[in-house]
Amino acid sequence: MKLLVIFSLVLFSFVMINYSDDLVYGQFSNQNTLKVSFENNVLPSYEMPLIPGQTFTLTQNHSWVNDETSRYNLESYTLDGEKVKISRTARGDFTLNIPTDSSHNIVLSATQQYALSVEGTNDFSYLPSSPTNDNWFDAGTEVSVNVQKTTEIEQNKVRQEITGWSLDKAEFWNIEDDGSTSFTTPPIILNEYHQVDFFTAYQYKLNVISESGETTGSGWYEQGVTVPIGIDAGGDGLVLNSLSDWEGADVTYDGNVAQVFIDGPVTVSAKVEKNYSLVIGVIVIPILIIGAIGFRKFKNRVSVVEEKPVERIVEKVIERVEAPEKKYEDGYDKKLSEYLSEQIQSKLDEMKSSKIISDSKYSKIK
Amino acid sequence: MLSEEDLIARILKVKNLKENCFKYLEDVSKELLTQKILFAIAELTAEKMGPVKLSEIAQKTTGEHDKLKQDLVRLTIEKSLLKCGLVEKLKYASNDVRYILTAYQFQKIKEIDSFRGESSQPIGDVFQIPKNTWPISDAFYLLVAKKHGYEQSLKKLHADFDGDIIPRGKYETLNSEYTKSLDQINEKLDSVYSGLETLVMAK
Repeated sequence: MKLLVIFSLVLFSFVMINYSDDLVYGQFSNQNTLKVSFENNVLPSYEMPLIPGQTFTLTQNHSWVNDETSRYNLESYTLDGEKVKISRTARGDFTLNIPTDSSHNIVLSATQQYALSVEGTNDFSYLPSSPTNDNWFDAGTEVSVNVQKTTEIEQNKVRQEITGWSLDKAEFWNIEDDGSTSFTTPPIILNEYHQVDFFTAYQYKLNVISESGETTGSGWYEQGVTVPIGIDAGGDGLVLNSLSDWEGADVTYDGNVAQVFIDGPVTVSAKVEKNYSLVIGVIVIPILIIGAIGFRKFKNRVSVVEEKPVERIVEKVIERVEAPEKKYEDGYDKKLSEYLSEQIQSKLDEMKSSKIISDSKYSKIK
Repeated sequence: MLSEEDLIARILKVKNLKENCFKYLEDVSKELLTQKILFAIAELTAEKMGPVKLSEIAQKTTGEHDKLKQDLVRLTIEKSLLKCGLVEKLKYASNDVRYILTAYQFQKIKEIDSFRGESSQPIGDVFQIPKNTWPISDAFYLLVAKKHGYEQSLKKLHADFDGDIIPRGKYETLNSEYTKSLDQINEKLDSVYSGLETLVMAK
């Protein structure tokens, strides 16, 4: 009897176990699923359960690393056979709400991308621009870099000029001055990482100014060149202008030719003097002569007026009354230079006392 | 050896540190070998203007550089300073390993985990390694001092001209010469040492 009871219990257990397995199988077979796969198997496929009545959001990074120099970027998905393009972006997650009323298949398509780095300037653009609005481009794309040739560093004083470029630091080309404001590289095929370096040179503005006449030589020049400058002083009617000297740093003037050595932005001014000799010759002297004759006739008497040479009369007429020249202290340059040295030393002392500079460095510099 | 540009980048960089790493910079750790090593690396780097050898760090921190002391210093660096990202190890050759600080300014942060993901929150002010141990070339200090000198001299020149102490011609020549020199100094400070002057001279 006992054996019969035990046998019945064992049989009951077997029946229950099989029943419960059927229940589980029934649950799985009824559950909806989402199968996620990637075109060309760029990432492993996976499957997710979908619970009816609950929302399910698929999340996938827009970009992910492939190897040291390339990445993948999502461009489209195919949900149950229907292809939909994705608005491409470099960063963030792509999300898609999946209906949970039935099972679905989604295939995500991604494109391989390579970076194109540009060094040496910030004032550039890609042609065409990146589909992900950064410096990454789809594999096989041909891209040019357009760069502004000049960048003003300090307005009307210092600027940077692009003089050449290189690709992957292997090949170098000069950029000729063809009068254009920008330069575009030949197309670069993005089938690997590339780097474009632009080389620059500083240029400084030379301003040649004058209160009258027209100057020559103003413009932008590279450091170290010597630039000839000049002036057509012109005149105002009978008053002629003539160049007496050039003022400003680094000007060499031998009385005929003037040159400026470019060592930074520089302004030189022409010192122009008014030349009245023509006025005197054409107007003043005849007036004086006529006046003198008229005066003598009017007086109608012999006078003992001492005859003066015409030049002396003219000199007297045009003589300017000048204030007595002020006497200035000598050696101001030296005193200012000493003051400069004192100020430099005081700043170094201040940096040492406020522990900005170490004792050893201070000793070396001072 | 590292370029001056690389050294300046390390000075300008502010590195975030978790509390367990930031403690090595705080007063509470001033007796610890870890902090002594940290400041010794900074001082030696400033002197040599580049990364420093283990033997030099051992000599500076312990007064000796025998193998035992070097091992002690190496272990301390590797267990704490390298792990925290405070120090970087550079291998120049198989038998030439040198150390340098990754940054000279540090921000203590607290990491926060939430349903939105991880984020960090800064705690307190940025800690600066003493400025007199920053790896800055002598040329920079000289430029800053000269800049001050020329600015003050130009002020004096203008005042003297206003006070009729010097004639116009002399004033214009000197003004042009001093202004040009000041412009060149400013240009170099703005290009080679961009951002450094403001940081170094800030009180």
